[in-house]
Amino acid sequence: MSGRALLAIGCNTYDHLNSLACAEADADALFGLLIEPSIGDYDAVRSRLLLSPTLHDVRAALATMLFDGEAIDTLTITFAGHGAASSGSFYMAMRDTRANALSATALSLADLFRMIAEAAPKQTYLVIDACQSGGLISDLNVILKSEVMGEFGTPGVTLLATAASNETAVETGGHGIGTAALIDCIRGDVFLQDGNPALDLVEIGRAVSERVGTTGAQTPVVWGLNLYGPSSFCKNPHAGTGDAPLRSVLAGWPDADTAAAIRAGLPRLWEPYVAVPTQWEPRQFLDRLAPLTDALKDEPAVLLNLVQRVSETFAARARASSDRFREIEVRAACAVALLPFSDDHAVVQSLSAQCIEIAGLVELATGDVVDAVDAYRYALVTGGLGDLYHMPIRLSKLVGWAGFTVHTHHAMGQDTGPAAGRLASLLDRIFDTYSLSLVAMSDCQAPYVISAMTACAAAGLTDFAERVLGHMFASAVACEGRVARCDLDGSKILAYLVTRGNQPKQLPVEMVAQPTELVIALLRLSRLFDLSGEFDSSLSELDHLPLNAYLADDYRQFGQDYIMGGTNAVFVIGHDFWTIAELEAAWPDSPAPARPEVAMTALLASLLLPDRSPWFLLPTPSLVEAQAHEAI
Amino acid sequence: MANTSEQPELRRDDADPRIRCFERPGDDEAFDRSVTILMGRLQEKTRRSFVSEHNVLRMNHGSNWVHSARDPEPETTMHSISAEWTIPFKDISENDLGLIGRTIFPISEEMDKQFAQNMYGAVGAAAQRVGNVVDAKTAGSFAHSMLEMFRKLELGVDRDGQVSMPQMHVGPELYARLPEEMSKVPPELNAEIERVKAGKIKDALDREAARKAKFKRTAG
Repeated sequence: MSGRALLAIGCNTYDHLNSLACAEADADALFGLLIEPSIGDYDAVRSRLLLSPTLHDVRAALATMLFDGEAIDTLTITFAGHGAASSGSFYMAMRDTRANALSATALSLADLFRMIAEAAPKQTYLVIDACQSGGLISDLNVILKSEVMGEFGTPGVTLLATAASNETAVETGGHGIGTAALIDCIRGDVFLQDGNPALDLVEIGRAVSERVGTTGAQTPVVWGLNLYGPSSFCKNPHAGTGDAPLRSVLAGWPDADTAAAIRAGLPRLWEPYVAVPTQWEPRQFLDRLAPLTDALKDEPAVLLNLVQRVSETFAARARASSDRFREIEVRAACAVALLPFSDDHAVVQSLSAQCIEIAGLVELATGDVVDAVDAYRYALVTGGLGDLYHMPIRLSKLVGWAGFTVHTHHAMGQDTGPAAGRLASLLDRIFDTYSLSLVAMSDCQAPYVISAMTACAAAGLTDFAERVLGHMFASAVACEGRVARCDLDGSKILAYLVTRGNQPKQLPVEMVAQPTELVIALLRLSRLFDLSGEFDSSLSELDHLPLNAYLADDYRQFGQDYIMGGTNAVFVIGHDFWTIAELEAAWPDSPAPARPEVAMTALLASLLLPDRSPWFLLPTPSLVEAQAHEAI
Repeated sequence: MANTSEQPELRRDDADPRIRCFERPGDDEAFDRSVTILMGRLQEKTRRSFVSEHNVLRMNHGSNWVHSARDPEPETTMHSISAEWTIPFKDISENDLGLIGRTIFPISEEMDKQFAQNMYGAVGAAAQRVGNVVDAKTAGSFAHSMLEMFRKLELGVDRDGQVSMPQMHVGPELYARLPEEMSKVPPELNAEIERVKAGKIKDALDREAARKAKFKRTAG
């Protein structure tokens, strides 16, 4: 980089104003960093560091830098010291500045812009970190007044300004908090991007604003216009690394061999990592994580370390999502990624801890949903007409996840009371406003309904469960069991709804689940609440309906896209059974997960990937019969 | 349009009070696209009832046009048609599938109405400009106004060389009494209408032949 000049000004000592503690250190640190060829690459000969200078010193330095020698391509000026706004103008206070004579004794931003405009560097960066012990700045936006910016005739100018409202609160590590955040970005401690070899002050400013703004102590302003060319404020320490934001996964990694393997696999996670606040596909995430976990299958401790770090890294980013359940789904996916290795004791222990943690998060989220509906009864209506399809599924998911918390506390030998209370509160709000949305809409509702209804049975929420099942079964009968297939394409949803609303018998086979797992779930669940007799009387309306339940025999595979082995238990109403008791009698035996931790993680898999259902939550009929005989 | 009276207003002093759970924006976008496609199909159907496919021009840019080889035209700007709708949250929360019809069809009807207004407005303005307006009261009777209409109009010739007869767009009232009015046309007036029509057909064919004769032909 050539033709680059830096002027760093820091003013601690004032003849007529209060002294400051950190301004010189700010200027010194920025100058030291930016002058480094590997970081800022500013020309040391043309650059200046001015500590507590007078106004004359600054003007003299500017005159030399701007107008002696060859034209400057990139000019950066940083100022740390008192700032002041007066009569709509912004001033930077130097050593000899007097508060009652700012126009004569301070450097006005407008004057500075006029000088820069005359010298016409192609790109100018201006950083102002104005400490404000004297309460001089009421509004930093005065800097952006159009008449001031209008003086600036060069094609590119970027300005980052921060102002402290309380000096004592904003020093960190001997620097003003604005400068400290800026230094973190320049050093690469804060990741911005890895696509460009250089960083622009606008993107740095955005990150500084995020950090500084959250403290509430400063009011950052970023303004940028770069018509000249590529970013050139400083070099990008993360350029080309590809996996930079995921680097925390490998920070302090103890084993060099596995670190290399993981580093090679991390770029696959880059896309879901970037997208996770707005787009989330558990299947894609699991498929991309699988090669990394497979490579570590013989080293469970390393495997757990990796998955835990990935989980924390993704969860932190998922918290930026507007979706209240995004972080939960991300953490659940990380647990599911460990299912193939659940023969190992350490993995099982970790799954136990993860399930408990996820259950805690779900309880909080469920509480937030209840609160939101209490505050605004239609709080769950977040889409347009498409919610006619998505709302019933969303409600099923909510109760299904709430059911997970009950199952987890039960499986881990903990008190299920609070979780059951949350589930009851949620169902209560649903009945108040959304009972008509308790509809059997899509086959993907099966796992959620199984989770929620079995949890209700365990928690004694019989009345709630009977109402849910009653609504859903009635809607299933009304559409003759033609619920939408699990993977119905979004572009077909309107056609499905229109046909279902007018001529459900005409629903095309390619849109419906055939066989359906949801209807068989509703039928089997009815046995838990003595609804079978009632449901039996409507079975003739579902004559010829094919049903299927996939019963896994190896739950280590339960998170796979395609699960090998297991059994598809297929029944046709009116051909294989005519009453629910006959269905139960014909139900095949299948193994349950070996351990409760595995069962709960398999339940998480079905909540994330709803084309599989947690049938193991329902009692196996033959066992029930045996227990009944024993009791007799 | 849908009744909005039952929908509680969002609090003005706060952000969106709704809570987002299990969002799948891809599905939402696909659904919205399918609604747009359905609306487009309905509009296409309406448009076909007014305008021949041959006369439809699709432009990618700009908002006006000019036939610079012709006489200046008074109306050369595009008109927007639009409709607004409200979806009551209550109906969504109650999974009322009838909401789809109650939402989409009024929108389509509103847009059809605006399209028709634009069409009749443009045709009416063009007719006024060249004096091609027949006043039934001044003409004296339906039969005389039909005769005057035929005298004023010019027939066109389609791409197959066939003369296109004019389309009649009438209001419901006239449509109801049209058969009766037609039956009352006196024979001599009917003959005159037929004579004028035959002349117009000949004029149209002559104009078409003259138009085609402007193309250069390979000698021999």
